[in-house]
Amino acid sequence: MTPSEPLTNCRRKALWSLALGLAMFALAGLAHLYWRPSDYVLGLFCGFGVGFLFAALLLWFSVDMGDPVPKRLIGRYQREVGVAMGAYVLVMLVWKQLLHAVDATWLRVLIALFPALLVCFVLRAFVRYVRDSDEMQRRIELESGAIAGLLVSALYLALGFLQSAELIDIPSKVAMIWVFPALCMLYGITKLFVSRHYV
Amino acid sequence: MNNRLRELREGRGWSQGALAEQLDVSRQTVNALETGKYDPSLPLAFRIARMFGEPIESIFTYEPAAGGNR
Repeated sequence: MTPSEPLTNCRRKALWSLALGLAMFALAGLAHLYWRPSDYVLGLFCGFGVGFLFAALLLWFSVDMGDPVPKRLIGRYQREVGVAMGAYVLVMLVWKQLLHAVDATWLRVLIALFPALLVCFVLRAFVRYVRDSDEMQRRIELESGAIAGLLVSALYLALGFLQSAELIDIPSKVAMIWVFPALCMLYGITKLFVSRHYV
Repeated sequence: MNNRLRELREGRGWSQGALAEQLDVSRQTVNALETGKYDPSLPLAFRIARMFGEPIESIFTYEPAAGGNR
């Protein structure tokens, strides 16, 4: 890209994502200095920061698809994901405190599963987006999803073997929590390559 | 699969975006169809044929890859 060339839509979004990622780290730094939050909360901010930076990287190197899907569809998807993820962040900030604050098992189960319910809304938004996309976009999404699913399975199989051989020791709660983020990350990387095939 | 989509579209003076809008697909899909990187589904191929008023087989031609059985 030459300096005079305008930024593509993807790259403009990448810059927004970069700014959000840096803002998350700045927020974590400020909170650490003035508020002294728990490691959990700091980890949460840093986790979202890493997520935004990763998204920025993917968007920057994405193929600019011009108008891959109607703006109406993208708008709806971003709105639905934004609301669900915003609620997810808010819930995760108090999730551990809430869990510690209640004794009843059924209530603890409900609180423990609440973030997963919010992730279900993200999945719903994604399914609606895929179903309403045109047939080639649908193929790109489904191919990417299938390949990412296979890669995550292979990765977990390899890690399982390493764990069985007692060469690594990943706590089960960490391993289980990371399945979905790993799938999302590999999906993003895979889509980068799959969409290039159709350009 | 080869096709005459670009030729037909340009013959009518339409942009890829305009054709995409009429077919209710993205501009990227029209581009991938024209460059042969994506083969349309049967319903989309019929929509294209109807739009240009030509039979499907005059727009899309199937040429098996050498030694392949796609």
